[in-house]
Amino acid sequence: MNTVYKPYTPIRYLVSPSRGASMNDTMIREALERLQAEIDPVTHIWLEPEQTMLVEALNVFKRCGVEPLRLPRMLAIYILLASALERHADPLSLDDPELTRRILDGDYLYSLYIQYALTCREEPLLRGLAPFVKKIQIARALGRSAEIRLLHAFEQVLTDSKEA
Amino acid sequence: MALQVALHQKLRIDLRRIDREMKRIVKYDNDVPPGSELEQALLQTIEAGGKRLRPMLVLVGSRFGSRSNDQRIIQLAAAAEFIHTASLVHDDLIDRSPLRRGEPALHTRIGPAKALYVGNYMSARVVELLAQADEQPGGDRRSFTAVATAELCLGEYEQLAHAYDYDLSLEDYLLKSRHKTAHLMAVSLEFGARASGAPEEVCRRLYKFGEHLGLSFQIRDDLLDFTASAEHLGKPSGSDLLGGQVTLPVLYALEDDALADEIRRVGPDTRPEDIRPLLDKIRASGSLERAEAFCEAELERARDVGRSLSAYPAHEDLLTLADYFGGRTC
Repeated sequence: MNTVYKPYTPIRYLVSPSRGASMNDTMIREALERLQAEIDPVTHIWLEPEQTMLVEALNVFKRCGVEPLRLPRMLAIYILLASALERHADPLSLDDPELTRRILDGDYLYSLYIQYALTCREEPLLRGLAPFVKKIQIARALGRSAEIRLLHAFEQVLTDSKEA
Repeated sequence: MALQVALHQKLRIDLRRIDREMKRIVKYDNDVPPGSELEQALLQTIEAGGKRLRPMLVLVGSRFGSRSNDQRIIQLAAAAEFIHTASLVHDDLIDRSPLRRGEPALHTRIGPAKALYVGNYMSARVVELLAQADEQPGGDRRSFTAVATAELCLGEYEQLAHAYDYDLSLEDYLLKSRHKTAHLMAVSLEFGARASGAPEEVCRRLYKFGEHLGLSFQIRDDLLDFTASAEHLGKPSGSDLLGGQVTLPVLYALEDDALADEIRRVGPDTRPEDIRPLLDKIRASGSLERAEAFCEAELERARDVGRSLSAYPAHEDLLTLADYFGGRTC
């Protein structure tokens, strides 16, 4: 998951809207388009997630029975949270000239994740993910950062909600 | 300190109850290993204290509804302080400040990464608590937005974007200050009211009151850079100017052509001793008095909102808050 900064220019897609683009490509494009519209220009945040990671996430969501119309917003929520966590990932050093941006971006993207989930009426997902997000922060604070995978957390919440 | 004690006493608020709730939120979290470095860091951060302004605002806001004595209100008040404390931990990292209130900052004690995650834990724990509470009858999905602090971040981005920007407009300065400071104060009042069942129009007015109050707070804070001692500030006076923050007194001083030339020469490589004569000139320019007048006007706007709620006995508490903010020591 890469977050790069650049002056605002028209959205550049990872997946070009070419003929024969797969359903996944379309959904990824839609999710990124929605997100970039949500991100305040003053932040200069530009999300460039890896496509393989997004395809994997989409496959998990589909396996959990998420209906097609819900998939792009589910993916957008996943991208926001994954990007927030990535920006705060160790190593972090006071000497890092990017430290300020990384802290701010992580905080902003996390806040946006909450706001966006609410806008999309995805409170049950937000509620379900809350303990996992907290446990990720605890694991990181205790130096055990590899313990919880975010996509696994999504899978568990979606599976639980399907069974409920 | 005497003024702060007077404020919570005037508002009839037991701050120890807030602190107890904050500690309870940590200790009752089964996912935090007892005795771990994380638990200790959290408890020490809580014990280090603070003005607890935001919890007080939540409690005052709750007095405009019918459920002000609910344990839920105390939890919300503690949650507001969690959010504020998390932002301070991150601010210290962003500013690379080794000290907080004269003591080693959290990142100085446990390292930048762990400090960052302590702050993140506090935000995440609040979301978890709200998620649990909102599943109960009467839960309000909007309480989540209280922790969506994108506005705080935007204030920081705006401050970064305008560092050493001496062409900053008053509107941009006010926008940055509303985002960075006023929003969380306004939200604290609003959500206290909403959680205790106050009418929507009252919640809206309380947000407005908090916004005026918060803006005056920020301007008063800006003035301290010129008026307070290094001992009081915990950093040398003029630190904001040296760090490129174009505050309201500086904006007014820039209207004087001779002063403007000197101010515009302040940049990232300027040394503290280089700006001492400039600080004196700004102090003598009348800029501080103009900023003070702006601050007072904001407080008067806050009082107007407070008086518009005179049907509620708690409106007196709003006026107490405005008077306290007006009398904040410089």
